[in-house]
Amino acid sequence: MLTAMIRIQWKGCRHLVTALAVAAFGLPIASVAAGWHASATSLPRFLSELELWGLLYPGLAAVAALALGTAIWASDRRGHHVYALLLPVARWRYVLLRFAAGLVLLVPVILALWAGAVAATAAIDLPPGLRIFPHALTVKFGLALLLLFSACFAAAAASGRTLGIAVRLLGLFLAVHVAVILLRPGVNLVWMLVSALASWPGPFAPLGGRWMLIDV
Amino acid sequence: MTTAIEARGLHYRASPEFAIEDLSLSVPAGALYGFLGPNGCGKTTTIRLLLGLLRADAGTIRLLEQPVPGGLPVALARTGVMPDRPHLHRYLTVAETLGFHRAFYPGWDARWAAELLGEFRLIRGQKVASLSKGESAKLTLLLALCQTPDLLVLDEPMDGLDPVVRRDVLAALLDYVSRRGATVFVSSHLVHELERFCDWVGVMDRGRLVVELPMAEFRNGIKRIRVVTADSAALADPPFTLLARERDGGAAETWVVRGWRPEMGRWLTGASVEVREVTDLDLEDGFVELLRAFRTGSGT
Repeated sequence: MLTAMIRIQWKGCRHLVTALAVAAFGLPIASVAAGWHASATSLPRFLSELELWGLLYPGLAAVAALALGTAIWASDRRGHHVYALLLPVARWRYVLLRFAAGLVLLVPVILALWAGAVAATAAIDLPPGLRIFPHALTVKFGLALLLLFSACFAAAAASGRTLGIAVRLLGLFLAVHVAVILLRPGVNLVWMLVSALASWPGPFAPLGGRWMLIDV
Repeated sequence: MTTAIEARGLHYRASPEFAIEDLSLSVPAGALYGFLGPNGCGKTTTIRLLLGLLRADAGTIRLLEQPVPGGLPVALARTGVMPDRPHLHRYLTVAETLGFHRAFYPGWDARWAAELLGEFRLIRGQKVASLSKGESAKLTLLLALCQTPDLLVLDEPMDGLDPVVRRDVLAALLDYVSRRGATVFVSSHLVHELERFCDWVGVMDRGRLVVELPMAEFRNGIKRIRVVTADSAALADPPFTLLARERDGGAAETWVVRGWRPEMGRWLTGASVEVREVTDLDLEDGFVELLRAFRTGSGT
């Protein structure tokens, strides 16, 4: 069943996966080339250039996760999930099959980023004092992609009712946030939530920190 | 007698204007059950409830002796379904659709699938999105049949199909039923479509089941009777159901009755009613009269 699911998901998303893999391969190469070209003479400027480009890695992970997470459910959604619901498997099992097959589609993107990072760092003569981190960057990217994909997949799989509940909860949170700001201007609930989610041990911690392919 | 589908006291509110109300039906195992009703009467909603696509507000459902929704995966493994509208993955080819589908059904009959592909003139490499309505219907039926189910649920399978495709679809269906002895639950708003091959019929209207009975009884039990009666109010507690009653002028009346048997003429004579003529109604007229009686509240 999983093989069959992977096969049809690949068929449905192969153009998207190819485009994302090309982008993932090109990003480290483009970042190193741009940094080298702009500021080869100044090490701090080279590093700050690379740090700026580093923002694109979580950006790429977010785009890939959103695109794949929604594309995977697009066909089921178009058919109002009738085909899926008539298959002789429990709903949770079908969702798990879709998710597992989706994870397989992330692999080419992650591998492409790793290959791009290795190629980019192999093509330059590093100035003394700098080190390369292609594997660490790939692992960080992989984790970020996995987390964001899981979130997007879950949101795309949710029914309209569940999404409605989520939106209402979000609206309630924002209303409380506004009320708290009016009563105690120093307290920012949104910032506290984002910080809690994006810093260790929050679930989106891998998205934070520096995304450096080359660093001291 | 075992039942393939059993529903008791189903309630489901689809919208403020429409609801399935207190619907109970029983499809005997091995039956070719025609589920009749005008457009918008709730046939598709009922089928969706039976298959667990919708959750009933109240009532119980058993599909192939499995409770719905708890035992759905087990029941659906033995159930082939042809929904009312296309639902397959449009980006797959015919062959890829078959390959995906078979992965979920251990009883998949690959040889028959290959045969049916030829008979239905479906091209393996053709994309589902580019199939015509008839081809799409044939592919859906092929998928339902080749999983070798014990129960086939078909929602308006012939709707919008040309006569040639209808014949192909019907032939494949009857071939399977005759070989396997499977139960078929087929819905339609066209009476003559079901008349030819169904042996049970359930008639639905406005979210309720009007009647459920063997087709032979439905076909033979509804009559148009021309009578002359001296006292038009004299007909109390008759042994049949009076579906419609029209005055023809004077003492002559035309009745449409359900559950008529010849010996009932004697009962009418005793009630001072003279039977002049008894005419068989064809199934379509019987169906129309039944619905008319249901809507005016004069029959059951």
